[in-house]
Amino acid sequence: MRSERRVVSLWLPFWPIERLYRDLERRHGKVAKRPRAIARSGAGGVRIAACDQLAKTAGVEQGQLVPDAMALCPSLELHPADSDGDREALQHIARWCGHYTPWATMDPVGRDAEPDGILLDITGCAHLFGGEEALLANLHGRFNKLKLTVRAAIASTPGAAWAMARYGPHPFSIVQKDGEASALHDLPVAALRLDSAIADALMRLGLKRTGDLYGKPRAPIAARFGEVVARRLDEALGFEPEPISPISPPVLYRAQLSFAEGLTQLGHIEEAVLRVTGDLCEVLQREQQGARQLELHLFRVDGEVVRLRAGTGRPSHEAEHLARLFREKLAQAGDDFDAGFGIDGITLACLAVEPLLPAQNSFGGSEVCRQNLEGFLDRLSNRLGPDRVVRLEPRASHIPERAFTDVVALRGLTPSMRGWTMHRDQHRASMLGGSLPRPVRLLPMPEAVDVIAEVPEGPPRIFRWRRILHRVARSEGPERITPEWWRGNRQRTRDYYRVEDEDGRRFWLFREGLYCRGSEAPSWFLHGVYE
Amino acid sequence: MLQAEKNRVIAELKARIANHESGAETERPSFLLGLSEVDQVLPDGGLRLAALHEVAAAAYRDMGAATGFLISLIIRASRDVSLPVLWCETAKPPFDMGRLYGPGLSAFGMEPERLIHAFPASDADCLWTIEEALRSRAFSIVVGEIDGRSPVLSLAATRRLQLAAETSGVPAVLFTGHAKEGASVAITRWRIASARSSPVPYVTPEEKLPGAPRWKVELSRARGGKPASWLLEWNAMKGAFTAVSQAEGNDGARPALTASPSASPLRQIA
Repeated sequence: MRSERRVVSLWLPFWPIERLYRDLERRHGKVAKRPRAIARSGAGGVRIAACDQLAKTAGVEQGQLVPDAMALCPSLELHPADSDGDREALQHIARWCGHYTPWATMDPVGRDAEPDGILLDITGCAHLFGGEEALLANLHGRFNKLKLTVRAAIASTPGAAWAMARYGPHPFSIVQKDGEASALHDLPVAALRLDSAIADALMRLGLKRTGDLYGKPRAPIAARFGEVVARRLDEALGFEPEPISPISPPVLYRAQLSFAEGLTQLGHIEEAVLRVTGDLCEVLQREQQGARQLELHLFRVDGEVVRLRAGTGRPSHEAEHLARLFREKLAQAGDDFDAGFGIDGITLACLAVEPLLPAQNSFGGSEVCRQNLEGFLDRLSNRLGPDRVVRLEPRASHIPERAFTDVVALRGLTPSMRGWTMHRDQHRASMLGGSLPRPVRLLPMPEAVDVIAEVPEGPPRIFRWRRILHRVARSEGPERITPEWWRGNRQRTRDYYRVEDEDGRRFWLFREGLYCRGSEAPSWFLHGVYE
Repeated sequence: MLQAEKNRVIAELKARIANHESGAETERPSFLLGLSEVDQVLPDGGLRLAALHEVAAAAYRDMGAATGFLISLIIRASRDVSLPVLWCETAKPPFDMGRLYGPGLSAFGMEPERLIHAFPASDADCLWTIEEALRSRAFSIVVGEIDGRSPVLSLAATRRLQLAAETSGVPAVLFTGHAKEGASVAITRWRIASARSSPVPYVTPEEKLPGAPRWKVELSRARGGKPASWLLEWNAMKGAFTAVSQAEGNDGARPALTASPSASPLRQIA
């Protein structure tokens, strides 16, 4: 079963060297004209991995030993290879290609050892750019602006597109559906994404072109080279499926805008964001869905992508509200926001949706208050970060610092939060058994204090906390809290006291450890401040 | 008969118009502290809802007491409203006194599930949060913990907050720590100091147990009212204040150590 898939394979033939030039330009502005090459240690010494046109005319070749190259071209400027940097930059460009389709990824297979291309699954996307030819022209123009040489091919399989982009007769080609076999017929076998060793061996056997492999018995080839040759052939011709995994998870709803000229002013960008949000919300409303997680990509002319994320506490499809979440993010970035040479594309993707049925707007107070609160929490959480806006949730633990936990307020009131009342009643009951009331403020970490007590196991008499001496006038306790043995950490037993100094300030102190032979002496800590 | 009815309505309307024209203080909604001694001193017969208030600690060591008083204000302000409470403080706490503790709040009489706690990264974000929270009308009261010495807490900044509180009718309270008073348009300003707690009933004084919290509460500024101070005790079970007389505050069980007359809690500063 042949699918209707269409794939673009992009090849950057001079990728490492062009990236080197881009980097140099960024760092120093103008780059002096001189031969440059990238060197990497290989078999038998350091070899040339890539070189520019000037070096090539001087006779430098890829794979040459560096001393030989230097002899041919003494003014050669050598740069060390940076494979990780190359990959990262390529990944970056792949992300930027998200402008064309969400299914964009770095092509893991390069013509040489390192990746040097990008795969785009443009199934159903080409019409947005006016057809496949127009899309290729658009790609060509944009990569030109990035000062990157590019070859590209569109085919129904990644394998065929890969082969045509790298070995095809024209820099830009389109292989029509079911035309793969004839298009690939005259290409060398290396076009099948085979190891150079295997490709060389096939060449020696006289199987020089891809077409030579068509209809050949498979068993002998498999016996000699493994399954890989047949598999690559099947993949290229579409007999075997080959999925593309996108960098970012696929999205359900997406809206995009492109501009002929880059936008540089914040006001214009905000306006554009509002418009793209409006487009997305129209679709969401039609499908009765509300957005929970959104991602905005601003594509800069210079190949950078600015990514902004926003989340909502409740599904929403109100353009004004959603746009405001991003407006606040942009405003917060303020001067740090860098539009570079302008922004020529915006996509807004909805990463998570929930059904949202049209609701009757009631005039009742409580509904309005709930909406007010949710709207405010959305904005606040997006400005400050969701984990900075929290509610407190009780937890079943006797260890004071574990008796509550923060819950992101966007998640709303969880059922266990209603457990505070139960928590309090339980505590009141246990106060009859010697449990102490809890302080209103708890220090993030218990702080060590110097204590003088009348009797070793008694309450403190005098203590010093943060350099201030407190004389204890009244005290209550101890309340013994033993560690949670099932946690297995080596905590010690704590004896808590509530004390009041002579000026009426109340504190929550504990003595950690017990007075018993063979163990470390107990020490005192201050854990909380009473009202 | 009909004419008489007409005259009565006209007279009533005239009286109402006269009332408006004279610029008589219209009733400003407020919430009661629930203690007549305090409420009648306050200009609006209680703490005005649509306004900015300030609470400060008398000294660094009184931060706990000031927190307690502030929470009792929250409890009083939100008792008849079902809205949540916003407490925001900068993520790097200026006073380093720890953060609000749920079990402690519930023991104090507040419902921790009503609390929404925000931790903005900077004081400027904190002010933004307070203002937006007031304007959202989603809260019964909004509390901001900002160091009174912070440069962003200018007169203009407090005016913005006051304006937001006025338009929304939601009270805002700034907790400014223990710093000296800065310029502010807050309509009331409270300074809180710790006081020795009440004696515990049914327990002999020899046992020396701490009792219910008491604070020296000083109303250091009240627009349209007089400064005053009291010794107040908080009853967590009832959620109400009680006033303590000076004699009781220094009762025999605990001899007064700070015996200077100026420390007398009932002295009126006016």
